[in-house]
Amino acid sequence: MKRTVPLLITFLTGFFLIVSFFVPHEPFGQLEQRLLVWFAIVSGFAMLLGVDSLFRAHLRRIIRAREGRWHSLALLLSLVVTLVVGIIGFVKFGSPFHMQSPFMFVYTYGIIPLQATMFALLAFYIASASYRAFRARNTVATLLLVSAVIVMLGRVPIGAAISQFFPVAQEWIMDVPQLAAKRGIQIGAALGAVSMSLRILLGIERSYLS
Amino acid sequence: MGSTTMLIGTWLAGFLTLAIFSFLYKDNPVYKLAEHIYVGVSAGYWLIYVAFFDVYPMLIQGFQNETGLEKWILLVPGALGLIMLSRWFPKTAWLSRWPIAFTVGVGAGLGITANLQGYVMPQMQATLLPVTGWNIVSLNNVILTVGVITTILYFYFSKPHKGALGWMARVGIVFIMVSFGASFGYTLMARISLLIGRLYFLLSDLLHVID
Amino acid sequence: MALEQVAAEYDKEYGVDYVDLPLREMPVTADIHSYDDIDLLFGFEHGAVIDYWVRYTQARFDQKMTFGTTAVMAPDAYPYLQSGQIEGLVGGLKGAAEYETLIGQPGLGTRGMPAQQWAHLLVIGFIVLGNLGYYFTRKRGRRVA
Repeated sequence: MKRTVPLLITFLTGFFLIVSFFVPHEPFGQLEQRLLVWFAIVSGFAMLLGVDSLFRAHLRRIIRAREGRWHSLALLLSLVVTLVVGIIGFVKFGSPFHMQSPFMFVYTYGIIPLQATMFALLAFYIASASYRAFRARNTVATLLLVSAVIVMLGRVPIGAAISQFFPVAQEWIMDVPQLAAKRGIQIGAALGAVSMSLRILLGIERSYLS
Repeated sequence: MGSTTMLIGTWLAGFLTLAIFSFLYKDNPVYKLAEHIYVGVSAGYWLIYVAFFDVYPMLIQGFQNETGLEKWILLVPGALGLIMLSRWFPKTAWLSRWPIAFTVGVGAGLGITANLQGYVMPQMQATLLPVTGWNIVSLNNVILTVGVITTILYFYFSKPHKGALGWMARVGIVFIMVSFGASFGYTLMARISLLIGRLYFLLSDLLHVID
Repeated sequence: MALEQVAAEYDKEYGVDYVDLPLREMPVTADIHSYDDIDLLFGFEHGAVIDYWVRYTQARFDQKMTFGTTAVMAPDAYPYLQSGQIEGLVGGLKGAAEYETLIGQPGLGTRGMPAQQWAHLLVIGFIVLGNLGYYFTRKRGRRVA
């Protein structure tokens, strides 16, 4: 029960998905669509589990009066407020994502500035890393450095003002060697994903059950 | 939204923006506060998002609007979802493997078909490019093909990188490094653009120094 | 998963837009029932969503698509552009500025470019400085040895 049923569920789900890919006729035709809808529903419940575990972890911190409990309180409050305004938006406007919904206030003035600034912060760290770590130690490191500099100069007007070489070289790097490596890495990753999927479907890989 | 709401919102956004930037000086309680708010708000946002865009229309509205088999079959994903919550009770926690097994099955099934049809095949096809003679296009096509093959070989670890394989892997690393350099450049560009966006917000929306 | 939903009648699940207007009654979406009715799909994405669009929507339904992405994601999209799996790509602030110039309406993208440019020069300056320092310390190190 504890192992066989899950292995069977995984195998059958994957098997039917693959069959529906090759046999677009009924009864398999709509199967992929249906299974994806089910997947979305089940993932929704999984999300609830995740948020719940986050909630408990921080609640524990507050109750046990650990260090950082005030921050945990702020986290819980913002989580609860977001959920409440989401529900208010749903009840009052029919959708939390309605432009008049208070949920969109949280999104516009909370999530957007927080997320954008978090990533903007990285600009400073990348800049300082470029000073400390971008050294021409050997041929390979030099290649990395030169390609980065050409791309950075080729993407701004001053690059073209210095020399037409920069925009042209930038484009060539992106269209030929960069593309080749990205494609090679991605083909490798995709083939890896395919073989991993096969291992899972056949029950060879079972780590997701532990 | 009314103008007062927008004003309050802008000041709130301004505070949060400066609070995050305060990390540049050093890790401090105000930054930590903004960080924790970020986590809380994001978790709430995504929960509402999947509830409203996935679970509500597909399960609840579906159940209300459909008839016959289409209606009752929705009990299957509904039940799988509820079984997922069995994790809350230690005695029944093992049951949650069933819905997990289902999601893994969907992922694996799609992982095979979508990757082969949507990536490997079209991308390999696009790599087999014509060589028409001594010209730039043909040269680029050759470089592209060599780059793809040597990059794949660089990540082939089932044999030691010696002899011909070692030689090709060394060519592969050249392409990989150029690619990483380009990616670094692009990542930096994106972060700088975001920084410009944030500074623009502070100077324009919040302080009205520029318009 | 919404990606696959469009394949069939999407208004079963997504009947209204963000201000609650029924999609069926708006001229822009009135005649759209599935991917077959969308001539060109334009997506604005950050993150790896573009991979899903290409691997499912493009591959399954042969949907023509174009993307506006953040600069981080743009290099990953180049292979799709060359293979013809996507029709076009507007990458990062530079792409936005180019697009604004193309349609003759300069906006935030164009305005941001000078700042972007100076930031690039600053970082390149850092790289050069770092390498000069590296070169000279190594030289001195050799002399001592």
